[in-house]
Amino acid sequence: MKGIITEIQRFSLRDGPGIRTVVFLKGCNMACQWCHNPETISPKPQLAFYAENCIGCGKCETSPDLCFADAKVIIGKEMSSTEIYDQIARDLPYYKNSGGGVTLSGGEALMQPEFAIEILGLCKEAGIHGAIETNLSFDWEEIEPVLAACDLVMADIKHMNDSVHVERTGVSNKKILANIAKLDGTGKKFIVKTPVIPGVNDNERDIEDIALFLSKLKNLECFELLNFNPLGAKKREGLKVSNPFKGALPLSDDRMEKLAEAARAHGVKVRRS
Amino acid sequence: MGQLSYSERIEILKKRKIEQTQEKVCKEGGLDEDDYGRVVPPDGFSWSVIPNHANGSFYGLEGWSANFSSLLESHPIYVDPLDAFAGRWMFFLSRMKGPIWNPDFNYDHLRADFARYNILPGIGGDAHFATDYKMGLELGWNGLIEKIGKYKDLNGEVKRPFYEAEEKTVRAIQTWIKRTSGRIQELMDFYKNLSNCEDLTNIKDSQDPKDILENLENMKKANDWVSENPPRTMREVCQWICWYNMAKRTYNRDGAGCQLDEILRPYYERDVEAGILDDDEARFLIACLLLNDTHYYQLAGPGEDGKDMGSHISFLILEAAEMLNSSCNITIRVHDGIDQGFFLKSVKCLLSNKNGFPRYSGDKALVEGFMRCGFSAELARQRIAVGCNWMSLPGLEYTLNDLVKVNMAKVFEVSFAQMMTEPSKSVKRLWEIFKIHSRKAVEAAGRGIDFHLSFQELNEPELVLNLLSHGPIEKGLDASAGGAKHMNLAIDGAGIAVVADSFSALEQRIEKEALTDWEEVWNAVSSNFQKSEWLRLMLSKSSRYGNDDGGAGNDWGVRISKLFTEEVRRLNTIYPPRNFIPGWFSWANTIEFGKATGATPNGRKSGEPINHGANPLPRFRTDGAVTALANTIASIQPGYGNTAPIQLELDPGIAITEEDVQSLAAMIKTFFELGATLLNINIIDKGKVLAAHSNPDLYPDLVVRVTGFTAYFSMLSQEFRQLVVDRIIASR
Repeated sequence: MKGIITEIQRFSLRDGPGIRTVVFLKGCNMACQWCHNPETISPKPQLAFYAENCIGCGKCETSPDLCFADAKVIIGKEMSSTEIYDQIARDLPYYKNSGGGVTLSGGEALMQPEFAIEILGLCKEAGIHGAIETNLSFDWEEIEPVLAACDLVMADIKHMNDSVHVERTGVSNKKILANIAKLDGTGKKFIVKTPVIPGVNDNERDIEDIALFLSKLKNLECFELLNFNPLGAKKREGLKVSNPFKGALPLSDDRMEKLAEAARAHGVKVRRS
Repeated sequence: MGQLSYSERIEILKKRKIEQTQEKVCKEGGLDEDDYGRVVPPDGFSWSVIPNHANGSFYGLEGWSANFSSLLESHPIYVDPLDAFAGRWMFFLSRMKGPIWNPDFNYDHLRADFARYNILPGIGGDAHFATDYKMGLELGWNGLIEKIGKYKDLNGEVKRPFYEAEEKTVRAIQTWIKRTSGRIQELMDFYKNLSNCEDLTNIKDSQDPKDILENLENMKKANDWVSENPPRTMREVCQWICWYNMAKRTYNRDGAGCQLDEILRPYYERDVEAGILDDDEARFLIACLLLNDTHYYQLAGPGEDGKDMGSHISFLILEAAEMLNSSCNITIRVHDGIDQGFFLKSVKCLLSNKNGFPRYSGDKALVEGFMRCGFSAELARQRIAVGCNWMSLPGLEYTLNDLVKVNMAKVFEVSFAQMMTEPSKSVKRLWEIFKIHSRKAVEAAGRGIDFHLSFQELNEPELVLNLLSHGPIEKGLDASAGGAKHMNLAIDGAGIAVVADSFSALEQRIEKEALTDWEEVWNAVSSNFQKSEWLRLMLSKSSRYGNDDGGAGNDWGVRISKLFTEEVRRLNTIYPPRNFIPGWFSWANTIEFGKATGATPNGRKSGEPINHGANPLPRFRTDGAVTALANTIASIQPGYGNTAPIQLELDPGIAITEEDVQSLAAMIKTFFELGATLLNINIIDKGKVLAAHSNPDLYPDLVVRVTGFTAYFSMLSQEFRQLVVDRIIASR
């Protein structure tokens, strides 16, 4: 079957174990205000415009496909699961030697569950480790089949306070937390990630709240703190969507380490990136 | 004041080297080449060449031996009382002599083709092959004199000038060593007086003069011995190697080293057993050897029997290099039997030192390739990495490695221009013409090599390298003239990505998509894309070499490399029994070849650099994935034992955790499993990133980690670059 993705990135060392290929699926049920991949939120292809790249050739008036200056950019393309697998399989020897594989990211991998299952299935047949990055804010029945198809789940907790979560992402965290507990109950190893966002959760208290929740879980592989990524600013501009975090900067290395230490104090294995 | 530790001594010596390098840059200006280890002569020193030609230069056996001898007789003496070893070299004789090629051997008849195809013919090119250090260490300088004498008597009067020149060369090196020994004695006398003196406050380096004296005594003993005899200890062996390296650097800049771990191992083990050496001192001795000169050394790899040559001393060499943490050319030979602990240690070393060492060579592809030339596996394993991009059999071959290059982008330019004069135009026709010109270009390179080999002995005999080669002394014949056992002659192609991308763009945009036509592209290319920016961008966004997504760019690369390989190998039938070996490499010529090449249909403007070696051009993929790059380069290896290297530049952020080290080690291993031959990884430092931030064009190959992925630095917007710069600064 076909699905919609924004891009395929090879040679990633941060999206799961080993050397990985990351497939960014388009479409997300959340709308995090800081999202650095805002082009993956809408489930449909979008047209972005980067005025500074425009050479004024006028060719895009015929078709945006004729813009080669990266000024008018169509974001999102339809690809079949086998087409995607063909790209993934190009780095098969690297996965084998490094313990790596494929990671379905987004957007939200669970927004295209059947497509995700097909890709993961093709990978599994070839012995390629499959991981998904998901916010887990779905009914457990929707999650279960995808879980069965993958080897590792990387889930997000943005905030433990539900009203903040709703305000910042548009979605409640109740289902997410419940699903993480269920996930833990399956015995499957998983990773929880938290993007550290200035003014949202970049303080010891909020991070410790999450760590405290995680400390009660049995199958958590590690808790990963992701520094704020401001690279979405340019994309938001191109897509003409507002950016509440305009001008915000990543946290310093020292600050990130302090937050990691605060989380570690609760007996949780913490990694920073 | 007290005894300095070995690492403190290395720190002081390193500081001096930095000062010496700065002095060199101040006095001579920056040089686009290796640092070597050369120092500038003291103010007031002068020496002039002794010409034997009307053009003021010197040539031939007599010219070279007389000048080398004269220079070494007056070469300023350098002794650092803190260094384990005496000596530094100061002169490039081959650059002081004036015109390198004797104009009496005229090659005007070859120049037209060289110019047409932008060929670096290597005529008059010197060194660039490996010698057998073991032979020198077994014979010592007196042993070499005896060997020369023996074959002089055997080979009669005709060969007498050759042997006399060789003997004079050895005697010149011995004189240099003995003069240095005299200077060490003077310093010993000085420090003896100081150690008897009560007021020691003025002593430089804060080292106890008694310790300095002891170091100088050891230095003196070693030099006195090795000036004539084969070295017996690790200290003597390293000092001998220093002299040999300095002599060949002075003669003609040769920088090919040896399998250093295996060369040092017997001496190290003997000394340790005898209780005269421990690992701390061994590390210090090796660090001083590496400080003396940046020769290329290989570590680990299979021996003749296929078993790993890595040993405890391989670790010590790596640790010594880390202790020195300066410019260092160490290559690790990766093979199935490599000690995993050593391999991982080397990766950690690469990631932590950020000075680009070690680099890696791939045994599998190199051995299988060289065996395709008809050599045994045993011999193929002995062909070690001792040059910029090249392998060589120590003492067994003459190669012209890294000296002969054909700019295939220029060959394409000539082909495209010709096709545009014809009535019928197509990619198929362009390929036919390209094939014809590729043959002509490679044949021209072959003629250049043939010419060089006919006259090089009369022009510039390899008097120093002949000494440790198997054949020249025995036959009384220079290595270049057939003295060497094997003539394995390198011809490298350059510009594969420019040509592949150009073919791909023409095929896709004209023939498949009909978005443009031949005349429009030709006019745009002829006018250097003036008023054709849209067309230029369109062409540049076609399927690219390096993309590795199943598109045409990679297929064209494979096709071009196959053609080039076949043409180079075809020279074997024209000049038997010579063996011509193809590779892809451009290195320092990347910019110069670009300047000589007009605009090309891949959207490259006139004069812009061609691609670097076998690497794709920048922006080959939006994610800059190194796996795609490596897969591509592995797929275009010519496959006869020479290299098409992978050049990677990664930012330090890539290696933070132990898992990252494991992943990068796995990446390197995979490159070589896929058929890669040589891998240069540069872990960039803050200074370089900042410089690239100011002018990204200067670092077109710089890859940085943006988030979970890598990208070419130059392709990021100013804003993105700033983020990377900020992150790197913040991470320190």
